[in-house]
Amino acid sequence: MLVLILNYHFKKECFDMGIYNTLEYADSNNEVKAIYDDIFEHLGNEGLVDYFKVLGNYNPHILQTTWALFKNVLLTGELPRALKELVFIAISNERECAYCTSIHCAICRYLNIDDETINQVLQKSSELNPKRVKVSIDFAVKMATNSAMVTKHDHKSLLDSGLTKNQVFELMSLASVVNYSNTLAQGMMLVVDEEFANLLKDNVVM
Amino acid sequence: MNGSVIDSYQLSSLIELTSNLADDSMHADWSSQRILLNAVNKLLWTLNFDYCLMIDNEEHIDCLYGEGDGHLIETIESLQIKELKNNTIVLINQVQYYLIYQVLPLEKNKSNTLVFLQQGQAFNSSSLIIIELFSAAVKRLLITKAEEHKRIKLKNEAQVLLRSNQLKSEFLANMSHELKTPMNGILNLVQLLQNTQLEPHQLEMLNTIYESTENLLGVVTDVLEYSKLETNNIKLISSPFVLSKLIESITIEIKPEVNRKGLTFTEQLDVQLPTQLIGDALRIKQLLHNLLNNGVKFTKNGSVSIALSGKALEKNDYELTIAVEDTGIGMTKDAQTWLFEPFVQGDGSTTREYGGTGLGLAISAKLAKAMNGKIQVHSELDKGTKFTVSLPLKKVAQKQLPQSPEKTSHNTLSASELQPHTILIVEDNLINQKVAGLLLEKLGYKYDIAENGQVALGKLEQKHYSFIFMDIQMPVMNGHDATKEIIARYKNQRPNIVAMTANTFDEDKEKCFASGMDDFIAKPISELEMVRVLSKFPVK
Repeated sequence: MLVLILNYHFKKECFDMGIYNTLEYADSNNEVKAIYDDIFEHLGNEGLVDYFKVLGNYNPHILQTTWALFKNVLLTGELPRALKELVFIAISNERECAYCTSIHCAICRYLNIDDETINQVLQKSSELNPKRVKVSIDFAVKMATNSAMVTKHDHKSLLDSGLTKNQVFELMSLASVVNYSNTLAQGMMLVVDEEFANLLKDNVVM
Repeated sequence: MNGSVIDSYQLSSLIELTSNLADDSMHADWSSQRILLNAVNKLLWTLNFDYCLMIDNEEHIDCLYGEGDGHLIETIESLQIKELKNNTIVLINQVQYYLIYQVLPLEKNKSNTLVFLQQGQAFNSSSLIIIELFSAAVKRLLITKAEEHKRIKLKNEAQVLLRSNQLKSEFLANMSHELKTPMNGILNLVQLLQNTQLEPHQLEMLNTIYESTENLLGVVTDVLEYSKLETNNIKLISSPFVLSKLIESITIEIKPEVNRKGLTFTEQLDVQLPTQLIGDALRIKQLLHNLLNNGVKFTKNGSVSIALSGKALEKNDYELTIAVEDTGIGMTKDAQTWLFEPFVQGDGSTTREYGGTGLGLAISAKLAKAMNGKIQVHSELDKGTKFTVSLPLKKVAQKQLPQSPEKTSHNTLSASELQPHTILIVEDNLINQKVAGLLLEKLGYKYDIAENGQVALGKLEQKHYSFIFMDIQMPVMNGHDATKEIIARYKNQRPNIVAMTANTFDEDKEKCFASGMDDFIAKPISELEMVRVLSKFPVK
């Protein structure tokens, strides 16, 4: 299933040229370099994806703001990073942001999450374990795609499954950040970074 | 799909969790409790448990996750946890929970137990593996934190010790300085009094006062010297000196006491020794003086000897070996080990019999160390003691006798005469004013007194002085500032300014010269010194 989804994206986008160009690390000025360095430090070398490099090329201020959002919401907090990445791909998939889905599928692999779990999330499987992971992902997707429909009951089931209120806020904020990220990525007309495309292609086992 | 025991989502969460635990354990100011709370919160995502408790070996229960109400704590307290099997069912508030736990043995006699409770379903095998891995990480964290706690405690203690040692030395230095000033006053006044008409028994009493005060001054000087060495404030000056002259100057000082006690004294200089060496002659003299003094002090009959030898090393390096030997009371092997510690004498009781502060050898050892040398002791009880000092010095390259400025100045002194100066004494201390004044009167001078630098400036405006004796530490305006101001105002027309102070360290002298003073005399002011400076400078 994963293969199908990704192949579809590759065929459609892989060979399109982006409209906006990237600014490489070597060519960047001190202000941008400082942000790139911070990204390297937190995400490793693979983390400086085209998404950041395009922002760096045209608007360092927005790059700074966007990176701060990622750093503060995705990388810090009480929820485990693996869960947050699963939420990321669930929402991105739902909103059909191919770029974000691909990148964060690859990140899930870096975090040792196997294809079965990733597929379960992409297919909205009800067999996801543990239960609270499933409940959290469903809640986040609802928040991101149709927040007006979120009910008291949804919140209650989250709290009943053991989330603290602190964690619920973290989850709601994450849903908003994924939305923001999807919107921006789609707006930039990004093509999946070559390295990531290769990584996903090589590792697909089905 | 569910083939693997631990699914990868659980695994990735666990990897992240343990690496977070490891990172957090590096935070010196984070308590293990805080790190654990954070970690258990995340572990919740990989497992589904309702409670997580930690019990330490004193049966104190911490609720790391879940509402720790009274019933829960009571039930857990009454359980013999170490005898339970995993997935035992316990009843809390009529609700069934499955319980699993891990014991974390830390150091001996110390352990913690992690307890997990889950409602509804038993913990499966993958949960058990994760809990085991998690517990291993928690154990690691607790050990790291305990070690860190110890390390910080040790570091703090070391700092406190170091600081208190410094404070002690500073206190001693300040105290000694404060003691020196009044004692100098006593000495000078007694000296003056001795020259007046007195009955024989009065003179005897005065002599006793003088001797006692001098002894006391010696003790205070020792303490001052030691605390200076202790705080590493020693500055070595390397210059060429004539070895035989140095030894001669020491033996002259020691001879009267040797004669008084009826001891024999021998000095032996190896014929191979170079005439001159380069080093800090003053410090070497101080070191040897202490050793010889010691030898004479602790020898009732027999002999005290000093022998010098040495060997040339590479280039101009030369190792000088000095042996000071006596046939005195000696000391035990035990006593030899802590002999060079301050305030210690061979036998605790010796102080009363022989007097002294017990600082002499400590000072000698410190001096030898400061000169990169070594000091050793060989002694046998009731037979005698031998100190061996070896000092790394340098040979003088060309054969040329050093100038001896002291000698020339002495010659000029005897040749010259007192100059007809008009004198101002700038000094805040009443005793010192009196001492300096009486000495000047004795020499036939008239003088005025100013009690600080500010007053002195005022006096200079009213009257011309050709000579000023300037104290350094004074209220309102100190000697340095006053000197600078006088030089700025009167330039070439200024009077000669001679510092007089109880601060006799080298750096104090340098400071005086730096502020523009012409010479320096140390308190207690001796008549000889006063004559020297008063004849040295002509009236401008």
